[in-house]
Amino acid sequence: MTELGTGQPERSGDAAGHELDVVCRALTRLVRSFPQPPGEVTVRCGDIAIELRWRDDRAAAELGPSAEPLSLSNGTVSALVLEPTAPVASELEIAGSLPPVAHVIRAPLVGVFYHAPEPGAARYVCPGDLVEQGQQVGIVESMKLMNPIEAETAGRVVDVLVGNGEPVEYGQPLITLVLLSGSACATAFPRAHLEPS
Amino acid sequence: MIEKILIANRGEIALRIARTCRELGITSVAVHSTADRDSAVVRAADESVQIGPPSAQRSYLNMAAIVEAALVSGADAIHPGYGFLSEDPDIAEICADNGLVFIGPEPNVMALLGDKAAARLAMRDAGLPILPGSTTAVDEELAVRLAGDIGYPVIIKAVAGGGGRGMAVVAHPEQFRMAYRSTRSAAATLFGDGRICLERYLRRAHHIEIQLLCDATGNAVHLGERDCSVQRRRQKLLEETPSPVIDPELAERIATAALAGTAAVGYRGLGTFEFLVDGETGDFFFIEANCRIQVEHPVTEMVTGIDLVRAQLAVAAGGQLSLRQEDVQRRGVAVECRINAEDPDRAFLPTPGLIEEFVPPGGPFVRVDTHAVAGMLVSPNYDPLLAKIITWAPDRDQALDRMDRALGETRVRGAGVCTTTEFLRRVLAHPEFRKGVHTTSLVDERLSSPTDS
Repeated sequence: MTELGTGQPERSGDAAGHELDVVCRALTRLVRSFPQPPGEVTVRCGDIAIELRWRDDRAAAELGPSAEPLSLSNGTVSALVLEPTAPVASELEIAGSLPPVAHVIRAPLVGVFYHAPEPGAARYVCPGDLVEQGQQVGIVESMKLMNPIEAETAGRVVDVLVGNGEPVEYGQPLITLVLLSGSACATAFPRAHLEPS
Repeated sequence: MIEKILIANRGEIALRIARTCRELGITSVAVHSTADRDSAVVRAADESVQIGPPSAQRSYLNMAAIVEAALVSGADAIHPGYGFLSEDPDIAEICADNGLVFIGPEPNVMALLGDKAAARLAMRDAGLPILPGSTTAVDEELAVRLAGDIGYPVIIKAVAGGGGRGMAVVAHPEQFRMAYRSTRSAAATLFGDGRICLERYLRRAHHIEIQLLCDATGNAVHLGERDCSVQRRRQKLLEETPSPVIDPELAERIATAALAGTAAVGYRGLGTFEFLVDGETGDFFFIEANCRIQVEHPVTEMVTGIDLVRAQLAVAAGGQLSLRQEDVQRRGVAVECRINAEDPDRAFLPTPGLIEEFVPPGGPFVRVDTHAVAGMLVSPNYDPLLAKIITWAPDRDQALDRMDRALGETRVRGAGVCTTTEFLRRVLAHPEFRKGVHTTSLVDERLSSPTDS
C-alpha cells in the first residue's frame, strides 16, 4: 500500500515504478489543490489514471464541476487501490465521525432519463426506497434503445437528481443512495490490492 | 439554415470549428470524453455534452452517443472534423435518417471515395491517371501475382484506410506475403476492414493535393495545391502552398483533373484529391480522395484569405457556391509545421504527459492552431498532435525563415513530454528542402536516425 504524498513507488519493473512515482507526485499536487480533499482515491498505473471521489455530497457541491470524479485517462492496466489510512485521514482533517457513505448512480451513456418503464406507469424508485444490488432504478434512452439503469450496490434512495424525460450526459449523477450500515465499510474502503493487468 | 452545430471531434480541429461558428453566430455544442472535460473546445463552445470515458471507441467513435447528443441538444448539423467518424458513411446515413445535416458529401459518395480501390477505379473511369495497381480488393494469391506484374517496389494499402495508416511498402518479393498479412490484420484492427489493395510505389515523388470546394448543384472550384512531400512513413509533418517543385502549368493540369473527379462522383462540400508526381518523369497520378477538411487546410486559408470551415458550412445545407474560379486569388507562400508530442530520438515514440509550460510563437504572419495549454494532460488515448504552426510571407524563403524563428520561440515543457520542434527545424535547414527539390523520400532516407527504422 502506498501512502499519499510519500511518492514511494511499488517496484513492479523500472518503467512502471517510475511512472507510479510521477503519478503519485502529480496526485499529491492535485489533492493539495482542492479546498476539500477527496475521501477516496483510485490510482491506476501504466496508462495513468487518477480517480478521486468526494463522498460527502455537501463537500462535492461546494467544489462545483471539479467535484466529479476526475478520470484523467484510461487504460486496461494494473490497478492499485489506495486505502485511506489513519494518518491520511487526520492530514485531510475529516473531523469527527465520517458522514454517511453515499453512492452516486451515474448515467452510463448519453440520452434521456426516465423514471418509469413507460408513461403512466409507476416510478422505479422514490426517495426513501430501499434498493437491492442490481435492481433497476431507471432508464436512459438513446437512439430509441431503452437502457436499464441498475443500482450497483444495495442502499436507500436519497434523491433522484434528474427530472423525468430530461437529457443526461455520460457520467451525470442520476440517483444518490446512502449505503446501509454493515455494507458501508466493505464497499467504501476496499482493501488495498494489486490487480494484474 | 444551420443554427446549431454539434462538433464531433476534439483537440485543435474542434476548437477551429467552434471559432468559425462563433464568428458566424452559429451555436456550437462540443461533445467530449471525460478526459477532455476541461479542453479548449469545451471552454470555447456554447454548450457541451460529455459522451463517454476516455477511450475513443466509447466516445469520439461512438456514433450512437454523438447522434443522441445532437438530438438532445437540438443541433441541426454535425461537423465531424478530420479523422474519427469524418469519413464514415454510416454516421452520415444515421444523420440523414434523423434529420441532421452531416457536414460532408453524400453517404454513397463518401463510401465510394473512402474505399481506396473503388476510388481508383472511379477516377480511372473519369479519365484521371492512376498508378498501376488493383482496382478492387485483392486476396493474398492475387496480390502476389499482381505485385509481380506491377513491379517492385509496391505499396500495400488497407482499402478502408486513411491518414497514412495501414500501409506497407514492399521492396522485394520475398517480403510480400508477410507484409500483406500484417497489413491485413492491422487494417482489421484499425479500420474494422481487412481488405487490401496495392499499387506501384514511387520512391521519389512529390505529394501534391488539390483543395476543392463543391456545392450540391455541380458548381466547383479549386483552391490551389498543397505540397505535402515532407512525410515520415506517410505521416505528413510539414505542408506548404504553392508547391515549390511543380510549375504552375502542371499544378493547373492536376487541379483540372481533380475537378473532373469531383464532377464524376457528384462530390459536395470541401474535399481534397491527392496525387503523386513522379520525381523523375513529371507524370502525375491520382492516389486518394479525402472527403473532409484536412489537417493542413490552414496553408490554403492563408494564401487565399478564405475560411474553409465557413465555406464548408455555406455549402453544407444546400447552399450555392458564390465563389467562382476567377475569384480565387492566391498570394504569397504559406507553410505549416505539425508539432507532435513525440520523441524523434526514440523513433517518434508518443510522449503523453502533463504539460507544465506551453508558449506558442507569435508575431507577424504567424498563426497557431492549438488546443494545448499549460496544465493540460496530453492523453495517450488520442493522436499526439499538439499544435500546428503556420507562417505566411510574400516568398518561400521568408516563410521558411519565419517558420524557423517561430519554432525557435515555441516552448513546450512537461515531465516526459517531448516535441518534434527541433526535428522540424532540421527539415527546414536541409539543403534539398530549402532549394525546394525534395521528394517524399526526404525524411525517411535523409533525416532518419539509426534508431528510427
